[in-house]
Order: sequence, then structure tokens, then C-alpha cells
Amino acid sequence: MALTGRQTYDLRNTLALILAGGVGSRLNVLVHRRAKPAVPFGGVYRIIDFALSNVMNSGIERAGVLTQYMPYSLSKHLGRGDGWGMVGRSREVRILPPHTGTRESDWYKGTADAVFRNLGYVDRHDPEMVLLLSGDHIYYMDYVALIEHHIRTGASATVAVMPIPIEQCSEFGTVIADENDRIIEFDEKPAKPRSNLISLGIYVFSTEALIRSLEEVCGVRRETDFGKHVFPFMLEREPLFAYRFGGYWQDVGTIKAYFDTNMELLKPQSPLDLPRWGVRTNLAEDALGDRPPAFIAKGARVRHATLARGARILGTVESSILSPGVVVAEGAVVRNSILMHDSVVESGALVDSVVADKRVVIGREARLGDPELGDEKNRMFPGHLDQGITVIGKAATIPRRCRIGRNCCIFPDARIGELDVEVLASGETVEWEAN
Amino acid sequence: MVPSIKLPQTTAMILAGGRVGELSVLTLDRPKSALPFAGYFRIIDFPLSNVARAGIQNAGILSQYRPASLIDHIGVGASWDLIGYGRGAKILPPYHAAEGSDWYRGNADAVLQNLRYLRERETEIALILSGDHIYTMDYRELILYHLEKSADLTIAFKRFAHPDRRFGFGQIDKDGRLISYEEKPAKPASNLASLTIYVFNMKVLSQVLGAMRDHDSIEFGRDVIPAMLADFRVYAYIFDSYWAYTRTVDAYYEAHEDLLDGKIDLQRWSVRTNHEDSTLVRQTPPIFRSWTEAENSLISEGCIVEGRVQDSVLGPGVRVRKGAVVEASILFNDVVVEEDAQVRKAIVDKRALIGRGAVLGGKGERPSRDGPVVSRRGIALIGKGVRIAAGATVPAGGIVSPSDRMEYD
Repeated sequence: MALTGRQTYDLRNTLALILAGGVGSRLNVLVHRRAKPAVPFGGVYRIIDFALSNVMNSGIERAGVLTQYMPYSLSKHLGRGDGWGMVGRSREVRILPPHTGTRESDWYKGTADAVFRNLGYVDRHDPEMVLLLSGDHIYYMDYVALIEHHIRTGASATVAVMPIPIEQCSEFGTVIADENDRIIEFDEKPAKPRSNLISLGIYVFSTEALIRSLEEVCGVRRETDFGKHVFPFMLEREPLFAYRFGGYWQDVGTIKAYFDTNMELLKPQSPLDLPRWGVRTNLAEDALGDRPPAFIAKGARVRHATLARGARILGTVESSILSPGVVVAEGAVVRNSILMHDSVVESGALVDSVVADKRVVIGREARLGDPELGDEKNRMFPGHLDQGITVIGKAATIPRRCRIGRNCCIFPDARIGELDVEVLASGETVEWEAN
Repeated sequence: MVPSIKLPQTTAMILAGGRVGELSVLTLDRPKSALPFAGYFRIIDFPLSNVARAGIQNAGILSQYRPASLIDHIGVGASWDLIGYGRGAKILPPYHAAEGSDWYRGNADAVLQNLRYLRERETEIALILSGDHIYTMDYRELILYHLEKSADLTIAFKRFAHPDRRFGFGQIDKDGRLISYEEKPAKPASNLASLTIYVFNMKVLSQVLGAMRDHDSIEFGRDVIPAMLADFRVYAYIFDSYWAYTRTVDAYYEAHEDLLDGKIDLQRWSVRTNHEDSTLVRQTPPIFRSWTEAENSLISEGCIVEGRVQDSVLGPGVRVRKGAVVEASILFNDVVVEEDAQVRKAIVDKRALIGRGAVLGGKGERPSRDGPVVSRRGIALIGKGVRIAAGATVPAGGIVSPSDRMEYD
């Protein structure tokens, strides 16, 4: 299928499938109530907006979103696809949840299994190519260039890769390619990396090759995963190529990466240039787009920050990202923090190095991220919370004058006032049973 | 008695067409109902949101003056739930008929020419509204009042301490029945002013307008209402909440002051806008770089603020660069205020550029070449796309129209 002369490929013959089922457990309380792709980002967006906007901006008109874990936020967010202009008779964004099949268990057992179980959806659209994406990453990519590369090399599948410092490669799937970028080997999370090219979770398949591989790997062998099973299987039978990506790409799978990547937005000349990337979200969700512009009251101070619609600032906000409807009352100080939708910081409170989910209430004169309370790692989640950031789950309430240290974790809905806790030392966790 | 919870089939007709000279350069290429408000809303969002909240299924929008921005903004009507089976928002421009074509000759003539639109929707009650007023009203209560009074026409009125003589004024009896009405009187007989919100029984509307078919022009206030007082039951519904209109530069400007004061509460009023109006809607929240001296201001998505902003409303995509000052001003989308420029008491239309060190508005004399006073308050007006040269000065109340484009100094 070489692209020669005037022959062109119609992008509408590409079907995008976005894997949005991931739990992303290292994001801790942020994924207690939603899947990782649905985690809010940059004030108004959700992580999946990046992949979806790339799909839209690349001129691909149909996308299926494979969900499994906590899909409610995601389906509410995607709506009918209006946010990305993907509506009409032949344009769509479609949620593909697990469904009852004829076989034993209905849940998706892995990435490849999820796609295998939706081959009916693929069949119905009869695309020439399937663009398979992870909904977990922050990046801008013109998939047209990727698809052109796929056509030019005559690959059965093309894997987007990016070079990173080799010492960081053991956390990723790596790809070993020859001088023509033909893939020789996949090496998942290697202890001793032999290549500095990591797979970005962005693949193009020629549909026939995808179907015949999944039918064998998932249908016959009952295997489930692209990285572990499908690609190694294809490698022996089909030409697979790597596509080298030179732009910005970031996995935000940890609280630290999530926090730092958000903060990138505030830098002048940031590589994360959302208007230029054309990232779009669904403003109709919860009528976000009807909220009035951010209001800065007399006496408020704002620096190095971004304030979404409906935010009302009476206090001080510095180096922070505030989602729609966040209120910072008089005399309150918010610094180095990410506060999500409709969270309220009451007067005189200090909020430092906090990620607060939606509708969190921080009482008057509370002190969060208080450095006097030490900087111990979180004892329950030492791998998640060790960089000084305190995370607060959705709709938790922090009582007046409560002091909370660093690396703390507060579960969604927790009402600390009922626990008689006045001081929460760094590294502590407040668990709360959802009812 | 259990009140009827199902209202008669109601269709809204929104009078959105006009351009008024009083708004000067702001309405050179948009009708006044399409003027941006509060950054990324448009004035017509107010009546449309009232329509949506009342559950009204159809709205006809009567427009004949440069309706492009209005058409874009209404879109498919989805923002106000005017979409789906049996529902719709429809722009109704003047059309060519077999017997010639007619521009609308007055606001009532616009309705007359579209009676068919109302009939096709099996309208029992025609709710006729102005597209350029700022208020929140529960039209269901208004319609229930109309039914309760067995009225043929009900008009919403408001008592004003200092009414504008541009309004129409009425006098009522104890029952609320309208006994006299005069449009734009030299000396108002009362302080009860019409808000241009009419509830008509459909049959009466057809009959009354039909009888005036041969008039040169028909206006509701001037012609229709006075003609109905003797033979029909015309009632006044007294509205006593916030209401503003935006027919003059000062009124439009003052409505923004009320917005900053919280008298207009878009969220509490559940005002809806079209999130797909590509001119006005941006996605990225505004960014504040260095310590922002922003006070008492509303800042829209896509703004980048590096200078000082006070008592102002910034539309989407506005840039205020270092050292620049924006005070008591309304900036429409994508205005750029270059370094060290000063903008005071001004309304700056979209994509205008205020050059480095330029000084706009504030104190000083109005330039004589601009003709009649457009703003008693001395608000300066900068037209769409105008470029004010670096270091130039525009005095208080100065008007720069787009035809002065490129270098004004």
C-alpha cells in the first residue's frame, strides 16, 4: 500500500480506538471514583481530551472509546461527541463498554482482549486502518504523519516511539529497531534496557493484520495483551515499524508526574501549548461553558496561575491551577496547588502543595501542607506520595483550623471534623468508607 | 382548585433585528441582540435562557440587520434545548413572497409576516420578547397570570424611579388592567414602563395584526397596544426584579458595572450560551503571569494578563501586556493591549490593537469631529479591528470606527 503519485489515502477510512479502561492506581484518590483518562487536567480538561483532540485535529472522524473501570465520568464527559465536533451521520465518538458475550467472562482481560471483543464494532465500520491509542497521555501528535509513515513503510502495524534517557527506560515498554526503523524486538519494562526508544501507546494497524492477529492470539490462544502477546506474535509474521516522535509526550501516571505536568502549563514558552495544540474539551458537561468568566475581587492577588470559568478569587493564588467554580475566600492563600471543580478555600486558610479533587471544602484558617509537620513519605502509599504533595479526594471536608502535613492522603467524602483530628502529621492517611 | 400544570402551547418570538444608532460603532455589523456581554455571552442569551427555563419548545428569532453573528450564535438551538422533535430555534429573516418582498416595517410587522410560523406550531400563546434586555424572568408565572386574568394581551411592566423616555408608559386600574398607554411620551403619565414582553392569545394577535396589514409600518408600542385598549382585555404584569437594557452605550456599560457588582448573576440566573460559538468560546483558562494587579474584574478563557486590570471585563483571548493598564473598560474578544498602553473607560471591540504606550479614554475633551454625544459618561469606543498607533491618544468619549482602521493617531 505504498503512497505513490497522486494516490491518496482517505483519513475517513481510519477508525480510532481509545483504550480508556485503565485504573491508573498510582494516581491514588484521584482514581477512586473515575478512570485515569477521566482525571481532570489543566483546570477544565480531562486527560482523554488530548488523545481525542488529536484524533479530531488529524481529521479522523470516528472513535470508539473502550471503557471498563468507573466509566460514568467518562461517558458523561464524552456525551455525544459534540465537544470534538464528532457528530453527524458518519462521525461519532462511541463508548464501548464490556458486554455480554458467548464466552465465560465478560470483563476485558487486557488491552488486546478489549479490542478483540469489539471486532464487531470494527467490522461494522470496515476501516482500512485502526489507530489504537491510550487515553492516558498528555501530548500533541498529528496522526496523519504517523499514518503516512505506516503507508510508506508498508507495515502491518506501526508503533510510535520516542527516545528518552536510557536509565528511565525500565519503566516503559521499549522497542528495538534496525536502521530502517523496522522493529526487531519488544522489551517490556526491561531491567537492563537495550534501547532508549519507548513505546508511546500509539499504534496504527492495517485492519486485516489486526483482525487476523487478534483472532489467533486472543481467539485461539486466549492471550490478552498487546505488549506481551500480540506484538511478539506479529513480529514473527508481519512487518512492524517504529515511528519516531519528536514532540512533547508525557505519561501522568503518578501524582508527581501529574502535578509537574500540570504546572508546565504555567511556564511561559511552555512546550505544553494547549491553544496551539487545539485541545478541546466538552464544555456542555455540567454546563461548564455557561459559567461566567473568572472573577478577581478587589484586594485579591494572583500570580503565575490559571483560573477557570466561574472561579472567584478574594484571597491570594500563586503557582496554582484552579478549575471551574473554585472559590478562594478573603485572606486565604493557595500556593503550588491544583484545586478541582467547585472546591472552596475558606477565609484565612493556607493551602500549599495540595491536589484537591472536586468539591473539597477547606475550612477557615486550616493549614494544609504545613511544613512544620515534617516531610515523611506517606506510610500507606509510600510509592505514591513521597514528593511533599498532599492529595484530597472528592468532596472531602477539612474542618476549621485543622493542620495537615505533607504527603498526606485523604479519601473521598472524608469528613475529618467527625474524627476529632486537629493535626494530621505528614505521611498520614485518612481513610473513609464510601457509603 | 388545582392549577393547570400544563401551559398552553407557547411559542416565543424574539425581536432581535434592530441596529440602533445609539450604539455607534458597536453595531456596525451586528444587531444589538448579538452584542457580546460578560466576555463570552451575547445579550440574546438572556431571553433565550428564560425561554429554556420555561420549557418553551419553539423560538422564532426575527432579524433583518446583519444577522451573521446571531445565526452563528443560535446555531442549532441546542444550548437552550430548542432542538429535537417538535422543538426548534429558527431565525426568521424577511423573505420574498409571491407578491413582492418586504423588509420588516416595524417590530409588529415582523411578527405579522411570520404568523404562519406561529400557526404551524399550533401556537395558542405567542410570547413576544425583545432580544436585547438583561433580566431573569419565569415566563410560566407571567403566562399563568395572563390566564388567570383571562387577558387577550399581557404586558410586563416595571416601575422605574427615573425612567428613560425611550420607554412606553402605561396606567393601570386596581385589577391590573391597562387603561392607557403611550410610547416614548414627552411627559410620562406614570413611572410604569413597558419591558417589551408581550403575551398574546394567538387568535387576538392574528386578528389585530391582520387588521393593520395595510399600514405603512406597525409597531407594538406605537400602534398595536393603544389600538387594543378599548376592545380587548389588556393586562399589566408587574415585574420588580433586576432589568436592564442595552440600547445605549451608557446603558450597556452600566450593565457591566452591575455585573461586576453582582446585580447580574449569570449562574444564579442559569444563563446559557452557545459553547460552539467559535468567535467567543475559547477552551484554555486565562493565565496570569507575574503578580497580577487585577481587581474587581472578570477575565475570560484564553486571556493572558501581564499588566494591570481593574474594574473591567475582558473577553476571550485578550492580551494585556507588561506595564499596560486597563481600567473601567470592556474589552471584546482578542483585543491586544500592548506594553505600557493605558485603556480607561472604554469599550473596545474585537481584535482591536492598542499600540505600545497609547492612551485611551479617561479624562479629557471629546473630539469635535465625532458629531453628537454618544456617551454622556464619556466612554470611548474603539471599533472592531482598529489599530491604535503606538503612543497615540484617544480622548474620553472618543470614537474610532473601523473605517479609521490601521493607523489612528
